[in-house]
Amino acid sequence: MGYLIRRIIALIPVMFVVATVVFFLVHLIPGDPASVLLGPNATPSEVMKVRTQMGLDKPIHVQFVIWLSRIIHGDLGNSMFLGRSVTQAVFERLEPTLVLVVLSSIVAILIGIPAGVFAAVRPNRWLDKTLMFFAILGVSIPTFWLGLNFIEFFSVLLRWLPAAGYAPLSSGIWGSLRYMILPVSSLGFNQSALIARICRSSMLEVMQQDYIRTARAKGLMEPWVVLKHALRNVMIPTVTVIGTTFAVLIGGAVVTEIVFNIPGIGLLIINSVLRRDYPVIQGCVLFISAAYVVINLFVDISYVYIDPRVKY
Amino acid sequence: MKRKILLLAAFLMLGFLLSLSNRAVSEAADPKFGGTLRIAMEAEPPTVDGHWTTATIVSVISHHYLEPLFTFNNKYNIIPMLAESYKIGEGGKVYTIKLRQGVPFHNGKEMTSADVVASITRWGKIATVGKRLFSQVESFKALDKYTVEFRMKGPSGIVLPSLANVNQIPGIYPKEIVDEAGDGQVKQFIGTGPFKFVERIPDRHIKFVRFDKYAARKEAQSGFGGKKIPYLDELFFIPVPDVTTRIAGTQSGDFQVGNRLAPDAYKRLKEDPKLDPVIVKAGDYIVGVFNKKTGLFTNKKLRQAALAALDMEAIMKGAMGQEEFYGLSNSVIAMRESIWWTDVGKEQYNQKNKEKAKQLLKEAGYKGEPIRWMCSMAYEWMYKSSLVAKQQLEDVGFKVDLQVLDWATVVQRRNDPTFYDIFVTGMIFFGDPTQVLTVSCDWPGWTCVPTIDALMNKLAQETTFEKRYEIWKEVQKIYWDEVPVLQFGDYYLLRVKQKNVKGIFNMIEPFFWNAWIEK
Amino acid sequence: MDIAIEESEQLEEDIKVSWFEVFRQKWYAIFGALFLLLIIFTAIFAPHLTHYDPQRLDISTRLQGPSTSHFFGTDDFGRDIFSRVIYGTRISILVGGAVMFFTSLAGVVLGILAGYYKFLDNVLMRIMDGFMALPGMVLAIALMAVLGPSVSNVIIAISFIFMPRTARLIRGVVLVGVEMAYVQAARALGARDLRIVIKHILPNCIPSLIVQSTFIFAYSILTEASLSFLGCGVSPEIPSWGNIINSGRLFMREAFWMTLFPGLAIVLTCLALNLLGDGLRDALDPRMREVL
Repeated sequence: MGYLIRRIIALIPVMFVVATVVFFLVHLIPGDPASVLLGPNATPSEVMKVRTQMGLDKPIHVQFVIWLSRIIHGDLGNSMFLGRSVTQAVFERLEPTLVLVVLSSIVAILIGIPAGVFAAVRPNRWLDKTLMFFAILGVSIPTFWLGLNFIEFFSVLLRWLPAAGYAPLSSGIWGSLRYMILPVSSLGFNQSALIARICRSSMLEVMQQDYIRTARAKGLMEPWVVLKHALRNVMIPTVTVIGTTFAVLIGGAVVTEIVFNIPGIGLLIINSVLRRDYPVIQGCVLFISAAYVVINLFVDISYVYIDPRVKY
Repeated sequence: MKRKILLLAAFLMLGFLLSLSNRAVSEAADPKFGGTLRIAMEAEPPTVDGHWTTATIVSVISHHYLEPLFTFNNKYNIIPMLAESYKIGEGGKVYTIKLRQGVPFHNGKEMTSADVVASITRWGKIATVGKRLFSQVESFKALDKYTVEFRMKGPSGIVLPSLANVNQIPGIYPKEIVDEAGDGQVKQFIGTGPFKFVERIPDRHIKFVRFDKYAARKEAQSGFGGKKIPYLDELFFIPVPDVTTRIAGTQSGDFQVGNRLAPDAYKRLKEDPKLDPVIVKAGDYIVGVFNKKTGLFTNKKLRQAALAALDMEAIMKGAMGQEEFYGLSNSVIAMRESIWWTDVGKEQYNQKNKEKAKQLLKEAGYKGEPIRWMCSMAYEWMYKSSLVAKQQLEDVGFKVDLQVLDWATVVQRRNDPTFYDIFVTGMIFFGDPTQVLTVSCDWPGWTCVPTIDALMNKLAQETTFEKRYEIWKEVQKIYWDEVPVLQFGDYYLLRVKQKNVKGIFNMIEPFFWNAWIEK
Repeated sequence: MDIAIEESEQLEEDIKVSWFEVFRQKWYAIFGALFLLLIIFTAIFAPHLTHYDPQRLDISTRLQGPSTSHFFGTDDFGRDIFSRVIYGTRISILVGGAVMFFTSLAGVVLGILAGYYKFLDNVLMRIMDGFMALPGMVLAIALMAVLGPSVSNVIIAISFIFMPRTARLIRGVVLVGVEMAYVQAARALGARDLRIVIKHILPNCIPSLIVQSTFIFAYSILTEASLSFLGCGVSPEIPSWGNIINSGRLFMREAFWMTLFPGLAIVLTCLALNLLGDGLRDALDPRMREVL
């Protein structure tokens, strides 16, 4: 319990670093949101007026303090481009990204763990070699290239699946899934390969250990041995990978959302960078970073339940 | 008896066949009400306030709910829209405009002169074209419930063209909405147009529905004006900024209309049995704008050297890819149908003369300083034309430092002469020569040529077309001698629609009134 | 005391000999190493491998398929794809190698500082955690927007993404190393910190670092390709594999060669690097299961 408290308190400096980096980075980008909003033919006085409306006329450290104090009260600011608060914008875009990331994780886990386990059970046999070949291929293929090829083949050529876009869950599960099949496949392929590799090497390591050999020598059934003893130990590194997978997936999700035109948070960030919509960029990055940090916290806590030897 | 029966049968047969063909004809001719149209647009508009910005995508979308007093027909002549008629008095100083009566807004209120005065005054403060108009206005007010009057400082030829402006629409909002907006954007998107605004979810869609009480004009549809009938139930404008996705989406049926597609997809789309690609000549052309305030290109000889070196055909081919999508022309007002089109100065265009270029380079005293060339990938042709031009210039001895930046950076930096020597952008349709940006002293590039300025002032004050046309031709002659910009050539747009979507698709901006879906 | 150090050094020697033996036996590691050498060779001798200038436009020959004069066909500007892919190896090797070098350098310095000096640990690790919490691609895109498109800026941006991970890795190794008996003993004897670090701590880091580096090399190539694909990487006319794929995106039906060949180049190079990394890891320390 004390550990939990300490970890939560430790989040604060981390988030402060995140907030500082994102704020100053974003404000260093050349280009001006007011000019983008008003269009190329606006005069300097019009631009100045809108800049004042956006609060950009104050010195930068003052803007930073104002922004920080607002965040602490839960106010992420407003976007003039979107005509709504940043919080609202983020929540509107949350569903597609969440669906994409969660589905990709599930696919990656459902494929990766069994693959890694089966490969490790009989190492260096043909099953292992085949699975690991695909795994290593999976981490070598760029996600966007895979996505492009999927679109060209399954959408444009075969017309089996839509090329791009997103249908919200509320409009029907199957309809929504149709749009997700290709993006999830391209994103999930890469991740499943990673998980398979990690899982396999952890399994191999565990299988070498004495107590496993003993259990086998005792004549216990193979699958039983595997499931009961080895999997438990494998879970820690695997769960770690799942945690870091989330961060990688967000990055991969950005690219995937662009390739498939999915209106999620990744696409929102990119569009906001192009429009120089500062509050949105800052708000989204904060949100994603906070999510990442919280997820990692859960991962760490889950160790206690998975491996009774771990005590905080 | 048998013959009579045969004759009767023949008549019946004939009658039946005729009725069939009649039905076929009438089916093709009778548009049907109903249906939802999903239109893939090239970007998310920064706003839906039609007065607020010059971005084309805003005017394309806003035209569906917002209407101006005047507009352009299919010959790009000015016709009345919300105006009923007008009178020009006192030798061009006074414009009295009578409004149509019984035109409802989407909120049920009737449009009157109070709304017109409020809206146009606001537009006059915000819009570039509006500001130029109002700089000449002495007073603008309502004379009675359905009449407004412009009293100008002197004779003026720009009142009607300004009020017909396509991009940054001088549209009519209800007075209350204008007052509510204050200094900012309007909060409710209410107008008199054939479609009603429903909702905007940024980066997802903008939704319109049919306005059943729309007051259509009586004349046949022509260009942006005439009788506008909203056949479709719903319109969805969907932002799909990635052009490949846009194309793939129209092919897979996700969208029924795709706007601004890449010309290289033309062949593929033509072969698709479900789709109809349309080539649109919208009066757009590509220019490289010289920084004439400071730096290397304050030197006229250097600008002329650059112009001499260029092979415009190669540049346009590289920019657009397909021959159907560009035209070589030196007219500053590029729309061929426009009354302002002229090829004065064409000897200077597309010289492809390397020797002359090298000679001029020497005369200009060029010492090999790198030329900072700004362009953006925001529109493919901006970058592609730059790449081809860069090689041609380097072949005659220029050194070019190509900077490919994103659009926001270019838009900001082009206002600052310390950042660049030339930047590439596109020119759009101009309703009137006074709106041409590249001859203006306050637009980026700073074309400050006293002879041009004097002629443009005369142009603004002259009211007869023939005299204005002569003045404009003079301006274009000086333009091709001074070389304020490198005019590469006209480019055309590719739009695609599914074959069962009917309507007019070849105007400079797409619109979806008088469009229907055939079952 | 010195005997103990000598014995441990002898043990290290023994280990060193056997890692190469193990490595040699793994065919996939050999393949990876050889392919990598091929890529490096191509990068260095690029001008001799093709007579085309990868940036030379020739509109009249645009979008031609693979032929004897253009092995990989031409792109929409008539540029030869084969030479662009060849010259693209330069960008990939340069970016991968430089990122590998900078992240290792920064990671080692930061990791050692954090692991060795407890009072710095907290501060440095909080900052590293902060950077790691920022989604990598987003950080890179924002950095590129600030810095502008160029190869060196891409290197800087990607290094920022991976540097915290290397720092964490090294810190972990250092923390273990610091507990070692001989280090404690050396400290007690008053040996200078720098000497201890260089002689005892650093060598322990090297195996992990080498393995990590090959994976970072591969990730850098993938990240650079993604950034260039998004238009946030090196300037678009420069032939990097990601740029070529990006420009070929529109032509996937008409000119599949524009996306196929650079894509294959990326896959094969990363494959080789991953195989090499696996081989090195299995040879150097089978117990290392570092997660990137």
